[in-house]
Amino acid sequence: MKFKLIYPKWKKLEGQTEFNLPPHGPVVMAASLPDYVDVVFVDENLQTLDFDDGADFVGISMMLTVQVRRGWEIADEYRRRGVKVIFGGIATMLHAEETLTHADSVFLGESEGRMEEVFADFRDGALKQVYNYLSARPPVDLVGPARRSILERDLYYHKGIRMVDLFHASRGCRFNCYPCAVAYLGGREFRPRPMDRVAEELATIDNNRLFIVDNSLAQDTAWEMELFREMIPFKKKWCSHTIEDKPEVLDLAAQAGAWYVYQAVFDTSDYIRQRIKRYHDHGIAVEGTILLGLDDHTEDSIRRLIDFLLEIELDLAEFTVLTPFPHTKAFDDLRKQKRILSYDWDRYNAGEVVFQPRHMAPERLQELFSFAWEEFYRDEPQQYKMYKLIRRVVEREKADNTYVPRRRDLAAKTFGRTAR
Amino acid sequence: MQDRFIDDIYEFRGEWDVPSLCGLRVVKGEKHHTVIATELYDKNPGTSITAFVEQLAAMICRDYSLDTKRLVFIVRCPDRGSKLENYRERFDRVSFTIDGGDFADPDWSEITREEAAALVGEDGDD
Repeated sequence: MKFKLIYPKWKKLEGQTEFNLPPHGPVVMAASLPDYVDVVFVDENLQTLDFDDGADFVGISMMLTVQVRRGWEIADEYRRRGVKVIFGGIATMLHAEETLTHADSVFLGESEGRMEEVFADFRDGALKQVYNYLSARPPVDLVGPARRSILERDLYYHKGIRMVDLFHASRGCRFNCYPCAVAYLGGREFRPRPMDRVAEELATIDNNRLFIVDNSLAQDTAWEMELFREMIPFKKKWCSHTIEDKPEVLDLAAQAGAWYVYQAVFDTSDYIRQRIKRYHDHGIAVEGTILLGLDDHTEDSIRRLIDFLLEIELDLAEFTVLTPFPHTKAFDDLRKQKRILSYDWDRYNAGEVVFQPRHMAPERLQELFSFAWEEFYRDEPQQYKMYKLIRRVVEREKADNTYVPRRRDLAAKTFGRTAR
Repeated sequence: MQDRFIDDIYEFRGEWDVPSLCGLRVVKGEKHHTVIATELYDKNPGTSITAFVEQLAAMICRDYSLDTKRLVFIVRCPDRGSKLENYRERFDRVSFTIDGGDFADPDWSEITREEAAALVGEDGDD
């Protein structure tokens, strides 16, 4: 049976440096497919979608809200041609009811141990409209190595430099942050994968550079330290979301190859200043993730925040505007306060203001968002700061003999296209 | 300290049947049948009150035999002790279009803590 798994394209933000990382959801889902399924994967951001290639069954994997409308269009087209379509992934769970109107079936939850049932139903012509496993998560030890072989690997290179591979060591998150839907999607129970499963997967990844996509590694100190100890022999270099800033954790993280971490910066406190310093003291770079448009934010406070980011010498900064994704407290609050200005999901790209900020006009917040990017990268452009980060990792790789030179044959290509 | 706006933990099946919880105080007075539903944040494994307010209000009215004509439905988001403004305590009175047992068109209006306390016959002090 030919199962075509599609990752819909989305419009990148204007002026944003284009990065196409190998998607994680589809390769994790593909690992849970029955053996008799012949899966073909299409990342529509990089590949052309052919509706006439004889798929028996189509799966649409959506991670982002900005993918949903395109996902629905693709489904409508396949269904017009009589091909059954099932949806899954994070954004499917966030937009399940709307997605149902474009789908033969919607899968909610985590796929491990569930796909035998789905595909048996498909073969029997008895596909259910909804497979609801949102509150019946599979045992986390069922999560095996992701099936990265479905990716067309040469597409994920920029001028010969390979993009990081995505990897996860746990699911769920005990935190429940204001703009985040993870509590709804993965549950509030932290579910670490067994270390032997983590090691098994790390051993299958032939890429020295990883992005550990766990929601937060700072969930359990003992586990976090055990994870880093387990990772040391693999000599990978990696970025991740937040890790704890205790010296013993940072020591191990550095030994395990911590390259840079994402750190949310909400204010100009000494707490943040010291935290960033501790990362830097351990040779770990920091990419700040800065959400603009919270109810605390005035024009002055945003300007002060940008100055602060420069002062604490963040290595990179990624600015976003608050976006009320469904199933977040931000959505609940702004909906009940009648402050959501648009439900056009194509605009939910974290770069467009779709709500009424408390202390300024939406247009002013939009201008401040652009100002933040320009101001932070005025003296050192983003590409130069990224080059510095890459240079650091190359030095470390050379020191431990893991450096892989860039691919000369792909030096003139960027994500499969001819580089300008 | 005892939370004076919660007498009970109400268990319900939220969106997509996910087990969910909220805090509940129900006062059946002569003039009003007043409900204060409190978000439990970290203690709630499932759907928020706001996301499910029409269905939740209907369930509570049914389970507590409340008169929908006299219903005053209040949603409370308690202070989480965060530095963020978004986590300050907030009370909203929610009005609905009610047709039989079906609730629709929720509309939220912010009220003060004192107004909420007055509606349940308290002074509002913890």
